[in-house]
Amino acid sequence: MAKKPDLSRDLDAFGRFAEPALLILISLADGPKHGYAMTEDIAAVAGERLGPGTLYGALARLEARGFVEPMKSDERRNPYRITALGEKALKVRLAALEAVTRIAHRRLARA
Amino acid sequence: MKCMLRLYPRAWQRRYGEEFLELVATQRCSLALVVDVAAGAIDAWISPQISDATLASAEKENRRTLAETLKLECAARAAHITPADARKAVAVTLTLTVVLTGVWMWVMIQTRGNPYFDVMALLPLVYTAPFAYAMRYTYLKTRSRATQALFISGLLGMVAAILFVVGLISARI
Repeated sequence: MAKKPDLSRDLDAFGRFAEPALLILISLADGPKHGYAMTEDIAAVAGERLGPGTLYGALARLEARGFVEPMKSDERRNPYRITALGEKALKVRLAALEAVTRIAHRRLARA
Repeated sequence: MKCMLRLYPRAWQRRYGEEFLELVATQRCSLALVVDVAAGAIDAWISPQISDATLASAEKENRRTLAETLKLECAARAAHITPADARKAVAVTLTLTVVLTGVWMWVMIQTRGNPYFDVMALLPLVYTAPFAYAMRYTYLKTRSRATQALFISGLLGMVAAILFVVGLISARI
């Protein structure tokens, strides 16, 4: 039987691009966006402005794993959208973060 | 900043180059930006995410579009041959063939088997010339008279040159 891919581990494999990739997925969960719109949205949501090198480094990884896909466009800039697999990976990742956050809050409350 | 795109691998440039430059153009030039772009380039070389297969499938669609565009371009440039044009071309070809065959027969009688004018040498020209001339009404229809004249005379000139060589060889044998 084929082993199910561990989606929560996939973003970890992105190395320094793991966090930017997560922010991109969160941004695209709101709807398709092109590069500039993504950086603006991420800056508004997370207070972090991703540089072009970082953004496209993360985007290339997400696209290679089928988490996002480019949409057809007549413009020079391509909008991207999150795929069903990307949504699943984002949910898994957020659930893992929530679990960590809950534990952290519990420990802080005890301290 | 545009030159920094060259730091990236070719495949990466083809895939993300344009939109990447669009994004870079919206940023204020700073040391942080230069470092970010350079680090991105290093990463793109060290761990390329774009495989040839991915790029090939992405470009497949573009190639299809290009092929369709070329087809349309060729169709637009091609002469539109109407049934009347085709009839005119056939009439010209047949008439000229009959006339030139008559001329060839007369030349044969006059020269009595001169190898330069015999069946192997001149006869092919008799059939090529009407066909080439009839192209004025078909493939060369949209071209200027000068172009038509150059093409037809060039074609017949080449055929005549080949036939001359054939005649020359026949005379020596």
